[in-house]
Amino acid sequence: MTLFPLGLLSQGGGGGGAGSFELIQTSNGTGSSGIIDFTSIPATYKHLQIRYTAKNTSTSADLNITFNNVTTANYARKHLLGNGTATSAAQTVSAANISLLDGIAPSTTANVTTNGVIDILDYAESTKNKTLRAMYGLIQASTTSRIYVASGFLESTTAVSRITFTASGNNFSTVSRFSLYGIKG
Amino acid sequence: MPAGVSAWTALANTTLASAANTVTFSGISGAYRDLRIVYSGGIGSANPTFIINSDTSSTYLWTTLESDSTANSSVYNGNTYGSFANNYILGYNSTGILVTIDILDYATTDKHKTILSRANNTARTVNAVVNRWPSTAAITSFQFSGGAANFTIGSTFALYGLSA
Repeated sequence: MTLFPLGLLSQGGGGGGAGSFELIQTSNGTGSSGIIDFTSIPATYKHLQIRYTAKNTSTSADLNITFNNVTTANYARKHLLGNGTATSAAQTVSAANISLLDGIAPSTTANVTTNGVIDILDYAESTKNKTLRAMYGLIQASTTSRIYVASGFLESTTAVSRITFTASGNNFSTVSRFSLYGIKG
Repeated sequence: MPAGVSAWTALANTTLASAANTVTFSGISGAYRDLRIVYSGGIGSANPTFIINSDTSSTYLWTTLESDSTANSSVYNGNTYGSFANNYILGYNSTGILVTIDILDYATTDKHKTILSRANNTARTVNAVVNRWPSTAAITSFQFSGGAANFTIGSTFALYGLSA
């Protein structure tokens, strides 16, 4: 057995050099809104990462993502899913958002949230369309637990300066939290 | 947090000088928002597991998305420990295993703890797993266990805290 009382160990500089991974903003659910909106995202980073934990005020919901308030049918999403009994894959194309299915846990199972990590690479570049990758999951009962690996796409070369997360139904509960980070390149 | 300051803090790390069956990070501060744990190394033919806060009475639950060289599967399962794999045994080589673990809101007391992990064994499997530890207690310790096998010499374990 190897034990590490943390107070005896060195600190600082994890995950790259100082300043390479910076918090831009954190937004919490209010219980009365189904929208988490990050606006005026600076273009000074190379990549973005969103780390979130989400719960709905009612039934389970999908987590719909748009960039720059674009709501035209230029989004696509593909995913791999493990639902506890089988794997599957699915996609949507020509959609009005990137919809992460089951991305928000229902209120019906106490203390359960959906947690996820979303990366958006080269979000500020104007030479390529915008893509994201996500891994997220939740554990409820045997028939309602999910682990997803997903990718999303927006056919637009415009730098991303706004990311909006919308619950497909109802609102984000107060235990929900979204944190946006910028990664230097 | 001041601008320009890295949100990550390296809290602890070690490289095994001899084979070990367990590795524990204890005394984890509640000062951060998320934890990331990285294990790189080897283990015999077994699935490494984990225990939080020395809790061996709760039922940890997990759902997997796994593949080996020819097949894939998803399993919902549970036990008195958490797991990074299920149908396809992760441990096999003396090296070549990488597991990254994200625990969001590990110190909050308003939700159960969800553990997202990605595991790779270049000779064997790819695994994405979500675990739930059914407790609202803040996480103060995290123990890796090799189960029926030991972690090999040279295996590394690192713990990071993320501010938000």
